[in-house]
Amino acid sequence: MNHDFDFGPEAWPSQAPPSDFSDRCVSAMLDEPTPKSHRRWRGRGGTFLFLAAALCASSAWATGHAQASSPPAEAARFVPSMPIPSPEPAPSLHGGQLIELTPASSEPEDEEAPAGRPPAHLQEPPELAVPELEEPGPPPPPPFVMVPRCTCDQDAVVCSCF
Amino acid sequence: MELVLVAMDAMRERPPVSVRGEVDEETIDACRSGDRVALAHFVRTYEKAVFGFLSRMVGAGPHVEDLAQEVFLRAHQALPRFRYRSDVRISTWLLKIAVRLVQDNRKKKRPSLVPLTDELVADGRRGPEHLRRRRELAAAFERAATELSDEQRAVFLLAHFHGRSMAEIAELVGIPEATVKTRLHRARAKLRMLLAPHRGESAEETPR
Repeated sequence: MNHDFDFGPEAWPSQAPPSDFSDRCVSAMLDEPTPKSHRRWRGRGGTFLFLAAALCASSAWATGHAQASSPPAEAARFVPSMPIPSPEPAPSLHGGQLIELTPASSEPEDEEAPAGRPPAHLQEPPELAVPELEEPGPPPPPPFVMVPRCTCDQDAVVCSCF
Repeated sequence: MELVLVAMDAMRERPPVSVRGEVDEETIDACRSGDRVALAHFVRTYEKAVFGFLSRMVGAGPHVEDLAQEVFLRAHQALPRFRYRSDVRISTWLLKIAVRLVQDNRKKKRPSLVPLTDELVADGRRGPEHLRRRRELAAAFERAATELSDEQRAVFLLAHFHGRSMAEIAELVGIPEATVKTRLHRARAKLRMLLAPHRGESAEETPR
């Protein structure tokens, strides 16, 4: 195959295999763990180890980040559950102001409710609650009770009652 | 003069792998069944050819050992599907795996050719002057080879150092035979041109 090219293989020497290459290669073929088969581990198991280490590192970082961003336990214990009242007076409710009766957090539920059938918290008509807030003056009249009135004549035997 | 003698000595040497140097079907069957002795024989039979091709393709260095092991691992994994035929050389099959592996590695990163060390060019039978000549020629060959494209270098190596025919190289690399001839012709012409100064120096040293 040399034809017109007059340089032989020795003109360009190649790298010779190490003496224990076949042993290590066979061990790698048979998947035998050998102390000198580091190159194979670097090629295959190394990828697995790298991924496992990256997964552990990311989860550890996420845990530490969550702990750092959350308030300490003592502080969380004294967080008031009710909103702190404002020192300013509450705005007047007179003048036909609209009053939000439903909390804002319930809006998604309203969207999911079927048409024509309002959610349970909207079934009570707002007209019953709004006048109580808008007309605080006279107290509501007592409920009507039927009391029989009878007039009896002293000479009569029969009494008439209304 | 010594340079010419080195080249002529090298020309008389047989290629690293000959047709007779192939393992037989019995060894292949034993390798399939995981026989350690057969596998070791299989690796030892072809390791020199695989190392030779890989080190000349990507440059000498520790990465060659990794690539060579990968070649044998791929071959071992493909052995159950391998159909032995007396007219098919297993070395060609292994070189095909090596060619593919180098192509895959080229896509990731193009390694730089590492200059050969004295250990690789040393010849204990000759003196230090001969070693110096060999080192110079090897370095010149290395530099000239970097001027070849990957495709030209692969074709040149398979033809010149591994004794493959045009048809074998065409099947091995996956290109038409005419393309193999073209690439080989251009590779030889370029190497002849780049190595011409060294041949001239050797001619000047010839006693008159």
